[in-house]
Amino acid sequence: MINIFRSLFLSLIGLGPFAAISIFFIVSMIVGIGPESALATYFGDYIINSESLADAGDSFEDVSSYLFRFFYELNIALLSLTIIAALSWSASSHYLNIDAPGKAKIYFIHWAIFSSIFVGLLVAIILYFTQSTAYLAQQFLSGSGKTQIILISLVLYIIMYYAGVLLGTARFARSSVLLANKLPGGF
Amino acid sequence: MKNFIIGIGGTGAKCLEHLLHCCSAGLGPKNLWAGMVDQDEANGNVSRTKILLSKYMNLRSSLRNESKHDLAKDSNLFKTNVTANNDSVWLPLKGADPTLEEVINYNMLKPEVKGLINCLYDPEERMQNLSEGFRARPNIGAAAMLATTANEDDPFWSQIYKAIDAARGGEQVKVFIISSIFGGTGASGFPNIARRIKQIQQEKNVTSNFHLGGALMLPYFNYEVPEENMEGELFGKPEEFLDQTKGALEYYAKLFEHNKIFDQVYVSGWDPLSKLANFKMGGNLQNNPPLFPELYAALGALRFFSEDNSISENQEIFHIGKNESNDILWSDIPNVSNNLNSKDYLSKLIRFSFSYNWMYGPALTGSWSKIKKYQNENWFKRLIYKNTYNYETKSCEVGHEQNQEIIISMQEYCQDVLTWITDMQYSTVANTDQKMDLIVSDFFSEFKAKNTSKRVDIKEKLNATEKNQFNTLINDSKNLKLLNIMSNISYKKTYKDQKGLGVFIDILFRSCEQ
Repeated sequence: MINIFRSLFLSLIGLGPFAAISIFFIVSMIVGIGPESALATYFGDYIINSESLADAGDSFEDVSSYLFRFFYELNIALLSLTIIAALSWSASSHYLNIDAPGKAKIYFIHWAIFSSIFVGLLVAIILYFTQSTAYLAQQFLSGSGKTQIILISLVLYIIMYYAGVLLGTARFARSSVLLANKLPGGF
Repeated sequence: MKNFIIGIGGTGAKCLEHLLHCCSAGLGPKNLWAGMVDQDEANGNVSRTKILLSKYMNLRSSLRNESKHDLAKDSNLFKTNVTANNDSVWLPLKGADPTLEEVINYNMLKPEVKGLINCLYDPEERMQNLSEGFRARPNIGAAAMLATTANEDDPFWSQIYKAIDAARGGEQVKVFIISSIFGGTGASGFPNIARRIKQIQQEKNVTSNFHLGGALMLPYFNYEVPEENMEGELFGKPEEFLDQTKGALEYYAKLFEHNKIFDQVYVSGWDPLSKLANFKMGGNLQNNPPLFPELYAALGALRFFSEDNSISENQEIFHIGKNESNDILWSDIPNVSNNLNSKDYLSKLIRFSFSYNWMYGPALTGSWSKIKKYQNENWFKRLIYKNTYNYETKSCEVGHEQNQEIIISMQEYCQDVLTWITDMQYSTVANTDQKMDLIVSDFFSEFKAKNTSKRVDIKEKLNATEKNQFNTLINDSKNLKLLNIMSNISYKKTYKDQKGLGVFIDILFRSCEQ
């Protein structure tokens, strides 16, 4: 059991730096950012469809609360999924039936399937937020803005997940995770 | 502290076999000198123990080499530094085919002494060729032993003299003798060797620091003697064992009443007697299986050597036996001391032997080109690669001849452990109503009671289903899975003073602990 806790701890260390970015962003959205801030400027320039907003007679200030809610809820969902997935793999890797030398690499397929499911859920959540009508704010997003949200979210959370599983996977199961067996033996 | 053990006769040698396995599990003292006494030098039981003793010593010296491969001081595997003379067996009567007449110079004796000898020994006994032992005739053995014991120049006896000298120098010395009460060599050697040692002690005026212990095996097995071709032969007759034992016990009762020969005596037997499938008079074909009561004698010896054993002024006699039911369980095995739980240590050794023999030994056997496929696995990287890497040649040397020799010897030793425990489990209860439930062995071995030379056939390879039964290997215990072993070897901390292959072997051994 102590090895599982150790794995979970290492996984959290892997997740940490990327999760910090995500948490900083979520907190900023919840607290609200000033109109002069770099993030607000970036939203205004690249994410929001300013023309349709102007056509509707609204300004960025009018819809900012919808947008901020959209962003923090999206990121909370993605962050939760990523943390749950990384920690789940880290813990469950201790139960993979790797009972003989050379058997760990057989479980690469398990990791690949698990990771594909994770990425699938990640994409599904992002699409739900950006493509469905569940969030009012999505209509204020420009096409390129949506693409940026999808790409940046995917990159951030996939890297976060990979760092989590890279460090958190049980030592004896490392050959089942891409490049994890390159880590030093005593780590 | 110096410890000495002497196994007398076939039973003594077999008890030493159990003792060596217990020592490899970590139940033994720090050091131990081992010797055997048997007139039947070619005896299968003696040769088996002799080979095991030499395997133990070689493997231990390879794995306790501070400059190359070191298991570490704190490791329990092969903890006991067992030493022996170049020839670990002492023959009371040297020379080719000696007879009792030759030993006592019968033809040179005065007529009245000849007459006395004629009363004590019939012509068959006087003329019997003794190169294959005393054939369950302690009266012959006693005469032979008394005629030859305690030659200070003899390498065997010089060890005993040195031991007694060491006691005089203030060092604690313990000597332990194991034999059967009902055979020939054992029954004659036990009291005579003990008394001789005591006599040397008195001659050297050693009054403290020296302790003598012994284990006496009461009848615990019998066998059927074939009717053909036995006419005129001298051999141990099972139907006489009980009478011999009765006589011997009366003798010991009187001896112990008047003299304090032993500090502690451990007495063990077995009821009902184990039935051996094969009868052989002696020689290399007499290869009897290891039996459970012999383990009692071995554990008695280890208890005697234990630092926790307080030896009182009075002579103590301990009896040991199993529970009254027909089931023999782990709970029937006594602990060596409060800190040394026999079951924990032995089950760890058995699990280690299994996992080394079928899982890790084969992975490490062969050239680097075969082994390197594991180089990215954590256990290999941490425990093997790092510790067998040569920084000068910039290569991992696990595939080199010297390392391969150790890896293969360890595998052979593991097979010996599995054979020993399996043979004991089957042979002790064969053809009786008893049942021994220490381990589950049928999935990795095949037992053929009639095949004296190889009763237990350990499978060369196991399939996945058989390997999965590892978690049922040890009965009466929460069992580890092979997955747990793999996990443990990946996480167990290494000791600072470990080196080379000693790192992996000790970690694997410790990983097999429950």
